[in-house]
Amino acid sequence: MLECGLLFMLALVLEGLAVSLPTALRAPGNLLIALLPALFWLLNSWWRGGYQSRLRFAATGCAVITGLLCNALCLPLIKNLFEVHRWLPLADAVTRILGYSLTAGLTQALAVWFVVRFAVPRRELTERLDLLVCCRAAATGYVLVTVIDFALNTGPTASALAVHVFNQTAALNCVAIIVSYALAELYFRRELFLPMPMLATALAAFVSGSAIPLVSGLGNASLSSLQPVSDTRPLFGSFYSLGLLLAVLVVFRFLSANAGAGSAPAPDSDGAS
Amino acid sequence: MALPERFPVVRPPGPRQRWANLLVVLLGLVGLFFSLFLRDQVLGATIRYSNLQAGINANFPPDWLLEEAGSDFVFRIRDTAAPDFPTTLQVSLFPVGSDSAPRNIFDALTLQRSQTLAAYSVGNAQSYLLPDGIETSALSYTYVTTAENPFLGSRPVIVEGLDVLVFERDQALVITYRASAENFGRELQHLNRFMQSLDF
Repeated sequence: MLECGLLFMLALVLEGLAVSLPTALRAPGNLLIALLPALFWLLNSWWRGGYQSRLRFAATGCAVITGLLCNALCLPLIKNLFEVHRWLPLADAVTRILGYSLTAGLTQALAVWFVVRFAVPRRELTERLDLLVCCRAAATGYVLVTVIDFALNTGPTASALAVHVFNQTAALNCVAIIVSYALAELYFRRELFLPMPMLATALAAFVSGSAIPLVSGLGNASLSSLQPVSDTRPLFGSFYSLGLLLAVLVVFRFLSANAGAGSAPAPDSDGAS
Repeated sequence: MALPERFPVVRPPGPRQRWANLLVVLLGLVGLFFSLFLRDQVLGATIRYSNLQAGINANFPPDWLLEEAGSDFVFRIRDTAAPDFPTTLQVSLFPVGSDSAPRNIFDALTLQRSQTLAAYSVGNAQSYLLPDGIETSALSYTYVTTAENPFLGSRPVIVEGLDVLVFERDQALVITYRASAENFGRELQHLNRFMQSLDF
């Protein structure tokens, strides 16, 4: 989660200083900021020893496949089939939370689930943390494509893009943590509670999908009773994303740590078959 | 000899793993259909408009702007969020004689609009099938407009329009649909829904 911390610090600094690059530098600067999640992840996973180096190629494969899947299927699905821009931004709060969870959130969760479930050979996965590594790699691939799409199509300022990059990375990491727990249960739990992977995937979709309206709502809300006029404070949304990520991390770390009793080393076959 | 832990023995998936996988696929399918259903519910939501004086009832999208009793219309609704030009549905009433033909109404409208709208160009008169199966007349046209706020400095927009004419006793009801040329075909669904709900 070191990458998320660095991205949060970057968003804090750029937004705090209201950094806006000159027009000539905006495109390359934005592209660099959009590439940061992938760069941080690459540096962290490729230069770090231990179990991450064993899964180097599987994790990189997950990131590439999820990125391609996101570009070829997920983004067209969200933009052209669900058309979320036409009906969700103006809908009421409950519809927005439900709508984003069912469209963007579910697409993200299922993309991570299917890539890690069917693209990583089962023999590569020997412990629960392996699934977290692969899911986080898949989430990084997804984030990379979405933030590049955002940077190229909307032309935001550097500070706005940094905030968006952090929010996206935090939401997708929440998805990765929850989906990796579900996959670990699927692979390693001897007496699997049948609907558990489905419920966990639905929870991942809800956490990620509901973050979209809540982050934007908090970023534009006035929290002052003396001046109840909406104001733009994007960092409020980022603090929410950070809190959500930490909460998911703590809860699922606790669940994973207590899941060892019923685990079996290899109850499942090759996921790629 | 036991294989090293790096390459654990691969055994067929248990029935629970298979079913758990299928349930995740099922979740995806249910989510897909429910989100499409939710989208259609939100996009197709309407509120009822009633004008007792003119005897007109119709449904229109809740986020469209309603204006009543303009100089040349009974009421009109506009999608101010539409890009380039607000998609407009407008209802006007004209008193007519017993021997009036659609051509008379269309000629009057053309004469009036050609003096007020830039590059006004009449298309062709065509037949239009009302939701209750009755065939009536319609006239298509185009003109050019710019943003109402001159400080926005936007470029001129080509607007396409369609007038649907309905005779009812001694009155002619003209339903006008306007949208930017780019959105005309896509937004035509609003006219169709409006016509289905129109009660005159």
